[in-house]
Amino acid sequence: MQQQGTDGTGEPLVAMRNVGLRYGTGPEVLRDLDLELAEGSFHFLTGRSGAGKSSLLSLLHLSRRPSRGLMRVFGHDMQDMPARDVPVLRRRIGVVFQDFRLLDHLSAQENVALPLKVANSMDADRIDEIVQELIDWVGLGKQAQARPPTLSGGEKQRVAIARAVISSPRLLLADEPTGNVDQEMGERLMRLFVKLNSLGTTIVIATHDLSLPAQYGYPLLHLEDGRLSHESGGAA
Amino acid sequence: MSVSELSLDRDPSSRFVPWIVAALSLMCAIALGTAFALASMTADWGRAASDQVTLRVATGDTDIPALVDQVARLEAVSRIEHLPREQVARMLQPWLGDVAQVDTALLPLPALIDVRLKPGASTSELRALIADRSEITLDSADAWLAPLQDLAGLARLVAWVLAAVAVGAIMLVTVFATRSALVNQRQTVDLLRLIGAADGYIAKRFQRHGLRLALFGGIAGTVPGLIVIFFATAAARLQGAALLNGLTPSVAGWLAIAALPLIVALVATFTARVTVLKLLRASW
Repeated sequence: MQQQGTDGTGEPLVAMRNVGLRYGTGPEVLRDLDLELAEGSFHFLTGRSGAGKSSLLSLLHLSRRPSRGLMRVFGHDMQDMPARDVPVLRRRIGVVFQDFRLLDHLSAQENVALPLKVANSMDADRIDEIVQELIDWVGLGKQAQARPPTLSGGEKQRVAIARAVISSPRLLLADEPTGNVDQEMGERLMRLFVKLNSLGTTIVIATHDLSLPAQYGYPLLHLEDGRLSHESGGAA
Repeated sequence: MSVSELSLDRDPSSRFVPWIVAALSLMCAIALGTAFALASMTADWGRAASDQVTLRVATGDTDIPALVDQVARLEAVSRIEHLPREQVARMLQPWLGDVAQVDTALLPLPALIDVRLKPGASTSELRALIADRSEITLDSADAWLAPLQDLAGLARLVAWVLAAVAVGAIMLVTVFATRSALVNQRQTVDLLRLIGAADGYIAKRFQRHGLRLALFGGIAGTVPGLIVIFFATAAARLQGAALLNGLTPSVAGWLAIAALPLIVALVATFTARVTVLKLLRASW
């Protein structure tokens, strides 16, 4: 499955050709990856523990460069991309981590505001306005000033999602976003992702829960021993 | 949002940094104070030595008033004084005891003529005048001040080296503290990079932290340093030795020492920035 992109130029948002990744001098953890993510698409990324899901996500959120192969993100070749230019691309990618990675000494509101603050592209009043809107949208209006240690798993996950989408990323990556919450909260979060996708955000959700792809019917990227296979989605 | 993303104020690796910087700033301030005080003192010596000479005329039939008249007419001379014989005799008091008890008329005392030169004037005219008169010797303080000036110059050099070592140590302390803080804050730093923070944005947080710590340490070390310099140089001048009269930093010297906390803070800020950027640029 290779969806053709809708990046205005017909180019996929992310394109990988024969990509490999190894850590240091160790063996390749990802091998011969071919992948295209079209703008506005929604994919599930599945695979057993150790199959390479986190490694693939680390390539997609530009934490690592491929050890070999070609990778283009938003029309830029990653092989030649100078380190100083990477932050600008990262601002177009939202990431929801399995362990949330919220800063405990900041309030929920301050955590959500971080991407806008580091981008330094708008004044503090405008940031406060947008953050408040988004916090309300994810249903955390009353917990805006709470610090993460006082929030439940589901609330932390929603703060993490709000932080990931606040700068209107073109690509949203979520690593096991329903892994630490109960089923009801998991469904609420999935509805949130579907809504974001309907607004145009390209989404990749890594999960070991095979019932999710079956339930939502989006295309599947399956990793096994570092190799990627593509499957079309099941019935929603 | 006013709270910093990096909780550097609570970082354990920074706890002792202000006090180490304070100790090094104290050392640096005292070293600079010593260097500046010695510079002022030797400048004083130089001024005194360069515009004052003595003509020593051996006993004989030299016409002293005529000689005084000749010397006074030289372009380089601003003032001249033939020292009275009693004053010359008093100079021998350390060897002869109370000269009032000695018949100085029996002593073969030379005639001494104090000559004050115009500022910056050379002694060449004077030397030419007495060149073929072997009974007249020109005494200049240069001869005996030169070794003292060399010694003071060496002490000044040592003081500058000590000050440089202190500043170097402050840079090293900053490097180690910054590296430790970066390791302790690694997860937060990684997160900030993932959400698009440029390396300069992260470095700025460490810079500000380094600046605050170093400014506090610099002030805590420099203030006692200024007090030590003030009392130590005053105590030395109170010894009564004329040579030590100029032993105090100049106004510019005092100002330079007072500016030490700012210099230390700037050094720490720059060092923290370079350290963070270097470490961050090592990874993509």
